[in-house]
Amino acid sequence: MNRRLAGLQLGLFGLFLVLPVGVLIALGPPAPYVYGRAQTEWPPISHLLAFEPEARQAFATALLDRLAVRRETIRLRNTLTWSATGSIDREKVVSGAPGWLFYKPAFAAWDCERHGRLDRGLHRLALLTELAAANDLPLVIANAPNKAAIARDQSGGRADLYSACFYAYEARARRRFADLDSAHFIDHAPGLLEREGEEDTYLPTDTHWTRRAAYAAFEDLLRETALDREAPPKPKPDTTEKISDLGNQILLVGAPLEDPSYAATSIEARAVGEGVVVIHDSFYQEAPDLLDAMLPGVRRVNVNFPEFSSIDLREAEHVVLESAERAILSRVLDHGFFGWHSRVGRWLLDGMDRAAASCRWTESRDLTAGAERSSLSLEADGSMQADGPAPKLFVSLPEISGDATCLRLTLSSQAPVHPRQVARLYLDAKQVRIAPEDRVFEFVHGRTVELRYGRRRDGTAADRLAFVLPASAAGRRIRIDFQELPADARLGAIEVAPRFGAAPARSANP
Amino acid sequence: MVFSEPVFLFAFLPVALVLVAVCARRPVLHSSALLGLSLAFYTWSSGRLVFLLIGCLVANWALARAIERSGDRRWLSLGFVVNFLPLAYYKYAFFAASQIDRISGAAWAPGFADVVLPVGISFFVFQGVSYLVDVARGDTRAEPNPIHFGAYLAFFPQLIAGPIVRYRDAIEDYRAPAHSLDRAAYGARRFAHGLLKKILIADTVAPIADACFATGGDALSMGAAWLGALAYSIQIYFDFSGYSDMAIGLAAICGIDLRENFERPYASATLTEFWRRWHISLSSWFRDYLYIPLGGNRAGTARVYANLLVVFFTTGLWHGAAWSFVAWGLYHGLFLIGERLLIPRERLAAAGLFSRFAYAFPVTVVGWVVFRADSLGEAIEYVGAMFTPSPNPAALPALVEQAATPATIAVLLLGTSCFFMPREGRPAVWLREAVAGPADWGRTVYLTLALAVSGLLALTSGFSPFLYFRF
Repeated sequence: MNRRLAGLQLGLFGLFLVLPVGVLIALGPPAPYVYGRAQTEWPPISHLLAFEPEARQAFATALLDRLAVRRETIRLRNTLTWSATGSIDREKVVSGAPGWLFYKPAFAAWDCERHGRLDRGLHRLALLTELAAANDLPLVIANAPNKAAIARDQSGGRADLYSACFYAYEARARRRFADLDSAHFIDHAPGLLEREGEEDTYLPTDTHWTRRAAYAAFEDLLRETALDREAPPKPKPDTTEKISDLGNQILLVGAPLEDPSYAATSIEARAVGEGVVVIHDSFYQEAPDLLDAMLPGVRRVNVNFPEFSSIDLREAEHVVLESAERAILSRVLDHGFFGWHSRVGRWLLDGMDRAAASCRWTESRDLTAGAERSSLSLEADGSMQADGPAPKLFVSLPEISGDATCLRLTLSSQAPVHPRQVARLYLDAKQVRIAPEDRVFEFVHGRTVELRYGRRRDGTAADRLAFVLPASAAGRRIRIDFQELPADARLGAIEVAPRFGAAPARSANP
Repeated sequence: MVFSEPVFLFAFLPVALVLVAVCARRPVLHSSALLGLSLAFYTWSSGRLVFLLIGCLVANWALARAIERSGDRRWLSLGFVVNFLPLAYYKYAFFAASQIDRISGAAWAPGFADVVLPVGISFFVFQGVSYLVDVARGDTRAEPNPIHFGAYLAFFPQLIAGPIVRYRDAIEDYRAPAHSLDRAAYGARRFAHGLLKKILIADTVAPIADACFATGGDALSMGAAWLGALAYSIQIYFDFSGYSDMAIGLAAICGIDLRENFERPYASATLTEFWRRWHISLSSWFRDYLYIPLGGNRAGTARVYANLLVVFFTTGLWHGAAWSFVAWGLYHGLFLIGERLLIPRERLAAAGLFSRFAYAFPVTVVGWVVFRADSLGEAIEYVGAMFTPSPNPAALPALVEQAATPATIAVLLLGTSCFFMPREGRPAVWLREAVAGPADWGRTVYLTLALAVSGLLALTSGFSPFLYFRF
């Protein structure tokens, strides 16, 4: 008997050891699942043989990623935990009030240690809307609020637990959002908060809002922009089913969610969507058919899909940028999806350049003489050339009452250009003297524009970097950093001009 | 590669055990397989540093032969240099240079900043030294077969976190491995038991300890500080003793007997008793190769106390190159001296429950705070928080509250029972017998549960190295 049981015990132990890899060998790896992490690639054998620790780690991770037994074990553990306790805490998903799940990175977005990014992002958002207004850019930025900001009572205190600053920062952001030009920025939060008591706005086990909330957001979008006609009657209520993304991320076994919606067929078109490009993430993606019904012909591009990286906005008459709140501030910063280096950023710069072309350059004033130079020498012909590291200029802008101010700088070089060569304009800088020798220049992080060299016109080697300054810049001191300036580059005049000149010409459309 | 890691459990171990089973009947082949597997195991963990292990192995084998042949003690001295020099370089050079820099204003430390500590170096160096000393003393013969010796010194189950095995206690098993179904089944049960201790208890309470120590003493209430200290006490015991169980279990499957390394240390009534039950293989190494050569108990009273301080200073330093480890060692040494001074020997042996709960338990827990802290200053601050009344002593900082979920607290309470369980009470006996003894249905059920729970947790958790790997 003992020997049989000893054999049985060894058999159990052996089964435990061979089952995961045995299933992999017999059945192959499981298929990737929605919202799941991509399987790690196997490292090359040569890297393993070269004793590379990263290769060993990659091998271990690649093996784990392919174990169907592991995936089913995770499913079992999470489903048991969730069913038995109603509480779960995993790397990216955490439970709130009974039955509610939250996406942890959304809490981290308002982390106390990220106050610098919060400030920079809010300044950049404000600057973008001001530039859009000054340069007549058909741009609307839309914010899809964090679930915990709207379904606050359901978060079960998790937001506070994971970020003590969550609600303070969220309130600060919301106040700043409310101050932005509503023709160019829409925060969907106030509308959703009004509805929150009346109907479900967010799905309990999903990161996203309901399709009805998405519809309400589209109504906001059309109402606040020039795209709307008039409010039509409510469409016919409907319900769809969806797989909960948070449940799916932690592999919970469960029935699909019932998502309150409207029948797309019952939605009246509100405007012609031809020429409207909506660049969005998963929030507007929740109800694309409803948006299509409201704006027939609209072009939708998901920032997470490959087509975004090659998007061409030249023909766009309106551009809507929608973002989840947790990502919106990093997306507008320099290297984000909507930053100056992105396709959207380049579209903005082109639009600003076009707007500046209609400025009254015949009435321009040269500010070069009054500019303070650093690592820039003034040449006999009035141009400037770099004579040290990190050349920069400080220019005081004039007050031009009753009109917008255009700014233009000219730069000539025969050298080829590359993307890191930019003139970075700090639109709100002031000089503080700490000691006679030490000059410290403060500036507002985020209120910056990056103009790439290489906008050469007429086959010449001269760049003309120009745009219409936002009204808030009048009378301010700006700082211009020339990054990676080619050795032969010569900087011409720094000019300002009125946009419309002495005679009011507001009707002129650039 | 650690024992609770899926790559070890589900890729390395099945292959290793099949290979060992295939080679079981021929001792040299068996030792060759063990040596090959051990070197592969170490390579996976430490890459090129495997050559250090191979060098240590070859040097110790050859030096022992030279010692035996010539009887010249200079070979032993060379053996000390060969073993302790790499240890000094890899483990203590940066620390020593930092101290010199602090005193002299030099800048030597940056030169050692990139030195990576080879895992398990303290363990295999100590095994090598004990072997050479035993050969020099004539307590054992030098091993003629380098394969058996290599398999002994590099044996993967105990290579990187012990137990520290004496050559004379183990070599017969390599020369004639005793494989049997019962022994292998016992090994499987012991391994599963250790895996459960590590994954279910140590890894579950670890986030509480981590959160408390990351918060720091200045921001902790009295209750939170004790919670963190208790959590770490539970974590380190279940982590290390779990590892030892797994090592002993694996060795049994491979036909090798390893000595016990723990004997319910938290049930000790005095610190003297604690050190007879905690990391037994290290304590007995220091007793046999340092304390007794220094004079042991036979010297005068003052000398005995000095010897104790030397041993505990060295014990602290063995655990790591930091003043906090030295302080932890001396802290224990001073309590042991205090016990000798204040408690007569016969009463020391009979110290009971009161001493256990009012003395040994809190002293041990406070000691772990010194051990766990990143610096001596941090340790002082943390211990201060444990003994400073706060307006709301039960208040938990957000980081601790995140970690202290109902599940982790429940596991912490389960683990804490090891402090309070009567030594020979039914649960203690049942736990001991759940693993040892013949295979029966009860043990089969326990094995199944242990494997199921461990598998569930091992496959769904992130990487969690054993605490003693860094020593």
